[in-house]
Amino acid sequence: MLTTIRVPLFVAVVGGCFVAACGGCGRSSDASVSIDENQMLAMRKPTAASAGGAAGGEVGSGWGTLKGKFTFAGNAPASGLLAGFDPNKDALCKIPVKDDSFVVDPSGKGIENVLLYVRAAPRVHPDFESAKPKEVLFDQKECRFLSRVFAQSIKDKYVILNSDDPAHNSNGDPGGGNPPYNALLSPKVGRFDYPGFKKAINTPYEVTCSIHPWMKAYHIARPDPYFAVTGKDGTFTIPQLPAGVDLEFQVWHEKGAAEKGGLVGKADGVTWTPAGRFKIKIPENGEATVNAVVEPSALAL
Amino acid sequence: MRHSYQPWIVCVALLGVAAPLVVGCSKPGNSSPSFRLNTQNEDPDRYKLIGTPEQLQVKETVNIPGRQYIADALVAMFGTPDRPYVFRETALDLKKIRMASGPVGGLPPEVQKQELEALVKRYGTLKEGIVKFEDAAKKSAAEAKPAEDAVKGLEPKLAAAKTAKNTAEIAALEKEIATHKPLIDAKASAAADLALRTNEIADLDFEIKSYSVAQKGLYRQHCAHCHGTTGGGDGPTALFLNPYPRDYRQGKFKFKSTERDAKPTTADLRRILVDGINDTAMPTVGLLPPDEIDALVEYVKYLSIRGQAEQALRDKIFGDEKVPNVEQGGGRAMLVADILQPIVDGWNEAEGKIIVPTANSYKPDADRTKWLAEGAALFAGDRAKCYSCHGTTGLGDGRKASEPLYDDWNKDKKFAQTKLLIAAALEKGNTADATRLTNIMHSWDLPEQQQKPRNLRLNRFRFGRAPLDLYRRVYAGINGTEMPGAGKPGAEGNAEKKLTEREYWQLVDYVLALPYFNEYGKLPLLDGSSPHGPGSPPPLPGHAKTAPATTTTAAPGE
Repeated sequence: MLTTIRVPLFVAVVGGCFVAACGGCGRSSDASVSIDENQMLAMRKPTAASAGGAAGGEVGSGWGTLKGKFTFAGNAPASGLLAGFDPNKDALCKIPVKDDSFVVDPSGKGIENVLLYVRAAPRVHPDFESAKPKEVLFDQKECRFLSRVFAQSIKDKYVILNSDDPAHNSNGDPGGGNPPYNALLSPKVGRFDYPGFKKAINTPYEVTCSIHPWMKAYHIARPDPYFAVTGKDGTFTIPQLPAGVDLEFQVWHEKGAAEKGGLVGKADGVTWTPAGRFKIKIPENGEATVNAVVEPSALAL
Repeated sequence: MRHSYQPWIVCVALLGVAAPLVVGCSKPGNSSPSFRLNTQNEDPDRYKLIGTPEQLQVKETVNIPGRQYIADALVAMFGTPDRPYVFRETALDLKKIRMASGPVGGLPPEVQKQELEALVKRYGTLKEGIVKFEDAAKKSAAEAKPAEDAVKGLEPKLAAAKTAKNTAEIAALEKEIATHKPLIDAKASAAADLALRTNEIADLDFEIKSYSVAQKGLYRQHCAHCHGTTGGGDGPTALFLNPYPRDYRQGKFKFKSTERDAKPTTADLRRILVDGINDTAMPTVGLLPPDEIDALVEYVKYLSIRGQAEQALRDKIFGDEKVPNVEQGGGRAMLVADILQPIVDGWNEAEGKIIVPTANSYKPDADRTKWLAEGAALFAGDRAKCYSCHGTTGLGDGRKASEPLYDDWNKDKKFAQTKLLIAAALEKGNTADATRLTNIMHSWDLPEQQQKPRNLRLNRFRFGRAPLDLYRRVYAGINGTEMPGAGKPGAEGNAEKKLTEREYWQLVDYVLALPYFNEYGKLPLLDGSSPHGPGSPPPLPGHAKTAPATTTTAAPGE
């Protein structure tokens, strides 16, 4: 409970002032890091030319596919309404919005909306490099985002649409030097063209609607085409992956209990790290399969 | 739970603030201040506002990787509060920054004099020594010339041999070319040595020139008590203010004339300093001489860029999962190219991203009542949705208590508090969550604050009440907050049903007229002739006709 960890107001106020005052008048409150003068000066030193190229690593050869499925080991949760949904908020939001934060297929127990992506691809398929940037559409209807988890490559153009009856606004800050946005979208035909990604995103960020506080989605933009979001049956396919080299995948779910939403599963032939990652080598012109079972303890439900 | 601070608490607390401020800061030079790192983890002081590690069930201290590197790199790039520094590549004005930096009144003149003398001395030595490097470069260039000519002659032959796939000849030619390599390499090496010296001299020259103005400690005198030495919005008085002072470190500013995703212009920051911000604790410093205001503007940019650089370094280390090494590509070239350049580019783009309405686009109808009624319909309609937060009558009461709003700065705090609750509910010994909680928590000291949609009936706006100011609010919204922007106006009848420029101005005029509605729907200044008949509230689309707003919220002006 919050109250148990709250210090008394007076102490907080006065103590806070002393702590802050240190910051305010400039005495260092950062006692734990002392500057390494030599390193600091070495970093300040100008260079004659730009730094040398990156070191080469193993890159493998050929291409392959990764397929698989994420299955929930527990019982499929009962589907309720999304937290915060208020039928009286907007007369145009007539249909109650179902909770889609953790969706399990009742028949096959597949987990929907598990995101997985390659952390650092050693090379990228020429089809991707030669492909023209396309528009990827992130839409909303019936007062919910149509994609709970939305993944794209930074090369593609992120376009937000509103096919819904009421107006919406989509508010997100991808971070990492990418432009933030909060665009108002007219009913039925609203459209917002994101100015473009400057950098890839490492962990999904939230997209929300200020007008309808229950609306939430997660978005990620990767530097390559090597990502997938599991479908209703919990399956996924990632084609044209670099073969013959260890690829490290990050697995993510908004309810993932590991750090930053990482999801830890169990599958034959691969070892999961506590951060929700596994390494796998894809055979050339072949495919590898990861059928993972996710225990309830791997999720913060 | 909401605390209302009793005046005596504030007095005692302010005493607490004032004492260290006066005692601690009035002896410049006695201490060596530093900027606060965003990743404070092992410092027990950081827990003071939120609880002890034991209370938070934090079992282990988190060792954030690369903390030492980040700390060193930040001092390399930005110096310290007393001795600021910037790379020439940032195009920041070190002169202005120096003027605003330091303890109030500046470091003692004798200290400054000594520092300057040391720089000048080093400059002299380097300048003197450079002749040697120039000679070496010239000499090695002359020596390499015949070798370069020879290689130039051999290259076409090698290309021909490669085409003919004559392996024996290829090997022979490559061997011959290799014999010339040492001289060519020596030339490159001498040229690099010379370039390095030249750059070092230019750096020193840049730094020495910044000493041509006196250090005055303006930031600490006028700003730091609220915004903190590091610009983290965490000065001693921050706790008592609502809204909190701006934390510059994200490089995110609410009030500006530019597109939502753009930085503020220099003129925007200057305007905030000169005008202050209405209805907040941000005062004006407009009585300062213009050069001092300019110095403060530059210093705010400097702190903001420093904060952004810190975040970028953390992002880089998190993304690469590797701490850079100074000897292996983690030096200045990388810091400039990967960290500083994108940030500085963002600031430099601002001037080109000012929102400007089409010239002469403001053409209100002759029938002002109709014009305003159309604005009212937009305000309360389902395209602009203004009412959903600002309320149907503009009192800022459109959201229920169960739908709190948080700006980006407070969202993170809210997040931290949520995690706090989770941690408290966790069984003892769950270090994974405790670790995560600690990581987040250390970035924030102050309790979360809710954001309120503006009460538009007060006739007070944070960043000006000129029609152009409001036009820009409709266009860009407010960066870092839930207030969305309608974006570039659409043409009449546009397919995306974007607000047109005419509708923009109707909204602007309606918002400007809102404070003069003496009662729901009545426009007393318009000859008593409400478009909806005397005394009757206007039929706002989608809303009940009988919804007097005055019952729920304080009257405007209170």
